[in-house]
Amino acid sequence: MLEGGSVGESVALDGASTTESGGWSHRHILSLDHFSVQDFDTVLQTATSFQEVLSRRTKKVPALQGQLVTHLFFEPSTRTRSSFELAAKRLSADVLNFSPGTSSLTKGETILDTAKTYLAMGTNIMVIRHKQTGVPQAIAAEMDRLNTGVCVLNAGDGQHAHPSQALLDLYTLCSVVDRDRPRTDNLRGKKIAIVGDVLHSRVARSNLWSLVASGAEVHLAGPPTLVPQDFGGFLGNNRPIPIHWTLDDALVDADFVMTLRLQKERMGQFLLPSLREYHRQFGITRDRLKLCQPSVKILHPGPTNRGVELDSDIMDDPDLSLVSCQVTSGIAVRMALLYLVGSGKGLGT
Amino acid sequence: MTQDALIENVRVLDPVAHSDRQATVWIASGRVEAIDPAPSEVPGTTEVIDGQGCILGPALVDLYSTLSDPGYESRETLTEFLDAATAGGFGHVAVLPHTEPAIATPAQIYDLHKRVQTLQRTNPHLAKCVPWGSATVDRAGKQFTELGELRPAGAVGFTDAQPATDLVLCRRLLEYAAPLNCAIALWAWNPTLAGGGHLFEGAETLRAGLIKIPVAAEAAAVAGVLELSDAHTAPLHLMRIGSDRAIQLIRQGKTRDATLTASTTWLSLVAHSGHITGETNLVGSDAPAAPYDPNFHCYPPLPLPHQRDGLIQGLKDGTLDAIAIDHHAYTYEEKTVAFGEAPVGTLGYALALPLLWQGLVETGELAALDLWRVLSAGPAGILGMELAAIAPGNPADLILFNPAETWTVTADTLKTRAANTPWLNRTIPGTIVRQWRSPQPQS
Repeated sequence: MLEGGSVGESVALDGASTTESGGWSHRHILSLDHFSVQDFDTVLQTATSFQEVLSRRTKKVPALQGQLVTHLFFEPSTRTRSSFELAAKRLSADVLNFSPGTSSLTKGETILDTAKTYLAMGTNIMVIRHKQTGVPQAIAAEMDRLNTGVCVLNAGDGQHAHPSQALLDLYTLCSVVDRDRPRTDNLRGKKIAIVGDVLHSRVARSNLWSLVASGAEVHLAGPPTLVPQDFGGFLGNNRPIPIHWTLDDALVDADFVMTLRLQKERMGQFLLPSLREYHRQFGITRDRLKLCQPSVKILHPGPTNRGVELDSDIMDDPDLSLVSCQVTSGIAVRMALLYLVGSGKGLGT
Repeated sequence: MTQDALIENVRVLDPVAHSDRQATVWIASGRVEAIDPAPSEVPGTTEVIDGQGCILGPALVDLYSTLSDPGYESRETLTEFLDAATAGGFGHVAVLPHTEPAIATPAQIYDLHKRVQTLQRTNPHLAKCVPWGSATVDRAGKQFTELGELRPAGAVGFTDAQPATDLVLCRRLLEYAAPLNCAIALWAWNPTLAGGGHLFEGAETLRAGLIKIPVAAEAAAVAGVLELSDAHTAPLHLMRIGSDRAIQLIRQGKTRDATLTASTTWLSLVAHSGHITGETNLVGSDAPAAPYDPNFHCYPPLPLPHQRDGLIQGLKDGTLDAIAIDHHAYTYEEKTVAFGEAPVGTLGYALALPLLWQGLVETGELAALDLWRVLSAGPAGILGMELAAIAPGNPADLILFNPAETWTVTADTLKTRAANTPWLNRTIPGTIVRQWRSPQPQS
């Protein structure tokens, strides 16, 4: 019914329609700290509809036809940008890509000048990534101040937030529990261990908001230099997060293990002695997974350092690894996000 | 500004006399003529000002700020800098040697004085400007400037206003300057530990996604520098103090060294980490700043909420002697970058008193007299100036402040081309209603 038809009329997008009455109120998606459980469920339901679209022979719908989506990736990215680009194209949007290599940033142009240039070209949605925290927020504030109606999606800022990655992780996890009807309730009471370089991870920070809101029991594990004690108070004093500086406690009875990418430069910063020691202490191995639930699944936001964060054969084991599912889910989830903000539903904050 | 006036029923804050009282003050010919004069004493031609709801206090003294001229005139000129200070109620400002070239020779001090005097000929009410001398040539930390020459030329003290990492240099500086009868201002900060971070460590910092700075980056440096000063060295001033742990160390240090002084900056007292993320409304406003406003990127870093409490306690008990404005102008293009990439510093002059009053006095966190003390008598003492009490016969370097009257923060009202403040275009309460300057300089 979606093919050639209006998305809004589609039975397949009932979820989004329900949301419309339920009140999707986010013009921008900058972080997940203000998302309600209903918001998370709306994303999951909308993504489910698009997942169905993506299973068809013709994987394109005209939901954003005539709209311009600009990818402002001040920080280089291939995977996330490709995922967003494909999502936008599946929704029939026109797409522009900006990268620093082709920019005027080094010629005295400010980040707002860059954004305004693409605004002047008629951009409706900006997807922004920057190595520094706060840039998508600053551009969104300027777009609002100018009353442009432009929506901003944060594709990763500094160590702060990576909402689309956390939402695709949420979708992946919920789909494991109930493939036909992924919803936040699927995670209630599930133990999820996030392992690795939490300190530098915007993915882990966004995951904390979405997973805890869904009712999951989230544990953090890694060496003290990468999982400082202050993370225990990340969600506020009334929602303490267990911190583990040894891996086994975090893994006991875990339903899911989310591993994080370890940047190799951490050794030079006196945060770790070596990749070898890290793998021996915090690497995910089949032996260690015996501590978890028998049905345990492993996630990784990629790209993976094989043999460091997890053993290579685990990553390639379809019974254990959800890494490919994450990449696949990413298209549907990003379609959902673009659709929710771009189809006029995100006219609130 | 120097008109004769009778200010009736005004709240008089006098940090020199340690008094906070209601009175009627008669100012004539730039002096305090009388307190609570009999109506028959005052000539009928004298302007009468209703001081109800207003504060009369000494003109403020800024312990340190950055003058961008010469070197960075596109940020702010000397004229604008002094206009901004005057608009903020400041009678004296001490400038850091941040100019290009740095203030490092007597000739440069004479030149600054000459330029200021020229400006004062057209505006005799302009804030007076005194320089901190550069402690080392080009502020490079390699070789002392000619300290003994600079001091009589007018340097009020010496500093490089750089992180004090070379303890040999700091110790020799404190020793050599002992006979010069002026303060040595050191910024106790370990940049290696700070690691390019943005906020002191804590759950709030992790949540904001900003890079954390161990408190030890300041505390370890303070502890080290404190060991360098004693009764035989020049007075040590610790500038830009930002953490509660540093306050504890300084409190302890003052029991050993009576000449030790310390200051924090105004922004650390009116803003905290929650203002960066846009969770908290700006002081004096009913809305937050734009999230990750680069104008909040400063040193010391904005405190976490509990650290701000420690700074206020330090002001109350005298551990902190002064609030410095650390005014630093930047161009639009310099500050319109990511938070973490923005140069540190923000405007302060026209904003400091109104917002400190709103953020500390109106909330009951600090007594009005304590606030005025750390903005006038406190910094004046560190600079070797003596303020006069508000008493008959004394010079009337005074300002009249109405904490309730609102104004809108614009380039016009800030009196400078620079606009690097989160409060731009906000309407805030707290207006300098009138100012008086004595005809003769006090120092």
